[in-house]
Amino acid sequence: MSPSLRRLRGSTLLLSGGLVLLVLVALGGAVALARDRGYNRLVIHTLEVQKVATATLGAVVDTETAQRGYLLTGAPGFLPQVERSRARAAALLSRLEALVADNPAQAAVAASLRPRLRERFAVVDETLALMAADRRGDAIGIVRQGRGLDLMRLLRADIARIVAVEEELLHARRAAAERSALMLLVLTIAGLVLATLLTLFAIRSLSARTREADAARATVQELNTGLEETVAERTADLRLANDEIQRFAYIVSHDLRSPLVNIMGFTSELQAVQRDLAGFVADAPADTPALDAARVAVDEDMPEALGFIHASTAKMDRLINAILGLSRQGRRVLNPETIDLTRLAEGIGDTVRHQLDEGDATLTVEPMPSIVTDRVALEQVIANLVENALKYTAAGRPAAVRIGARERAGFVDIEVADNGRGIDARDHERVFDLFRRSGAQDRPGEGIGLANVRATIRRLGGTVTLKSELGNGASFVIALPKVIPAAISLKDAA
Amino acid sequence: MKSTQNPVTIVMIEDDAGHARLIEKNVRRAGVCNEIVHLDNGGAAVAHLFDPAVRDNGPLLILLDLNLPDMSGVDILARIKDDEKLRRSPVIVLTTTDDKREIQRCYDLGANVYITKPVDYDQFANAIRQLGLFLSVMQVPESAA
Repeated sequence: MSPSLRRLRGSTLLLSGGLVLLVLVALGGAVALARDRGYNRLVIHTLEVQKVATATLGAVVDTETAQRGYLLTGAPGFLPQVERSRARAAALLSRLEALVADNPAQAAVAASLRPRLRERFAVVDETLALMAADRRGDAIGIVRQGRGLDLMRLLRADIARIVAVEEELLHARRAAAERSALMLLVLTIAGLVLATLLTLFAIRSLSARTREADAARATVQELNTGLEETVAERTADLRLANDEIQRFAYIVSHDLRSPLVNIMGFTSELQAVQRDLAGFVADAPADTPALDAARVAVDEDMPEALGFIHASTAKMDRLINAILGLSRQGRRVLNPETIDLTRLAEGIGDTVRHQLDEGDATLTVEPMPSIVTDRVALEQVIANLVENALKYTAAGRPAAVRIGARERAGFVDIEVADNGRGIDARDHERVFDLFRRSGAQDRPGEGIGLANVRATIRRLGGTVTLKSELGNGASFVIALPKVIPAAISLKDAA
Repeated sequence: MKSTQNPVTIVMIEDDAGHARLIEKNVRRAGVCNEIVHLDNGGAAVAHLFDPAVRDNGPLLILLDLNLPDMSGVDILARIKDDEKLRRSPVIVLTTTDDKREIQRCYDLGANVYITKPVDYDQFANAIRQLGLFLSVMQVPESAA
């Protein structure tokens, strides 16, 4: 996980870096664009300055031309033309002054234009005034003097300077505009290339990530399926093994029973024969020494032998029945239902009432919660524990049995406690084994009850524990699920 | 049993010789003196029952043990109850098995009586003797000719 995580972080870092770069490129482009627009405006400005400057000169020349026309012909029609051109020249000059106001050098030159223009027009006015006074010769004399020509030359030189300066500016601005456009182009291309690269990289890393995720998901699914299969296999194996044991116990107990029937049967037949023989021998005269051995055999040896055979087979029959009972318990279909533990315990108390009264014993049933489990199995277990409590009493102490229960998360602990003779700590595990008993073997029993209790409780999904010390009573705690899991109760149906 | 009618033959299918002997003894003690044919395995039992000489000739009463070495008594029971002639013969299942499901299955297949052999001999003898008394009064259909 760690290397791929690091790769993920790396590619994220790279992507964000690329994005920042892209933003910078875009910003640069915007700046270049704005600058380009500025340059363009300046170029237009320069061209306008040149145009206005030249036009101003043109207007002055027009004035001069009209003046000369008038001087030459004396036709008054030239006078309005002189006025118009003069006004135009003045207006254009004002415009020029406004246009170059931002450039101090140009503005200074422009400012020098106005007095010269005024001077030039003053000369024109002078000639025109002389013409009006019919002194045409004087007027032409002024022209001939060349003062107007000198002024004109100066004016031309100034305007040419303005135009030339603007021309230089124009070149500089055009070059700047071109550079800016080039930069814009470069930035745009760079941005496009960067964006393309970023997109490609994003696509690549995304698809790589997707592939990784798909692979991971496939692996997880595979593992999951494998796990389920393994669990199913193991469960099936366990069930098979369990079934095998059940079947084994069942077959063994049946097949063991068959010879027992014979042993018991023919032993009884022998007993009948022995009784006949005993009667025959008893009927014989007492003083037949030949029959002495037969008498001993028939009266003592045979009954003794037959008695042992009988007792042993009877015991064997009980043991086989116990195994059969356990195997049956394991095969019985569980039927979960809600059980009021208090009522169940009281019911068991009723069935042992006679025993209680006989032994001065007491059975206390505390209020208990309800539980969902198999009634028959639970009843059998608690009855078994109560019977044990009443059976294994301490000498000189009437039995006092208490049944109580405590709830904890999901489980109910049912306790059957007594004040009986107790069980040695060494035997705490052993007493749950089949055919094993603890303490003095002075009470009837085969050592089946607790084995059955443990097998049954395990089947119900619970555990049984024992707390006891010799001479101080015993307490069995059955921990059962509050509601028997469906997996357990349904297992039998399968 | 009246000698006027074809006497009922008891076919005892029992693999355990001891059991067979004990059953026979106690049946006899109950005063039943019909012929008892003892067969100690499933194959022989089927061969005997389906032998035309037996199948067509006779009222039969069958004592059947379920735990046979070569086949299950339940299978024999099924075949008997499947046969148009043998199906009328009463079958008494006499076995050590006292499993509820097995008992149900036998009755479902058409067993007439199911008796579990008690290990306790007094009970065993008593049961067989009562069966004997029962046999001496029960009517067995003539096999259809």
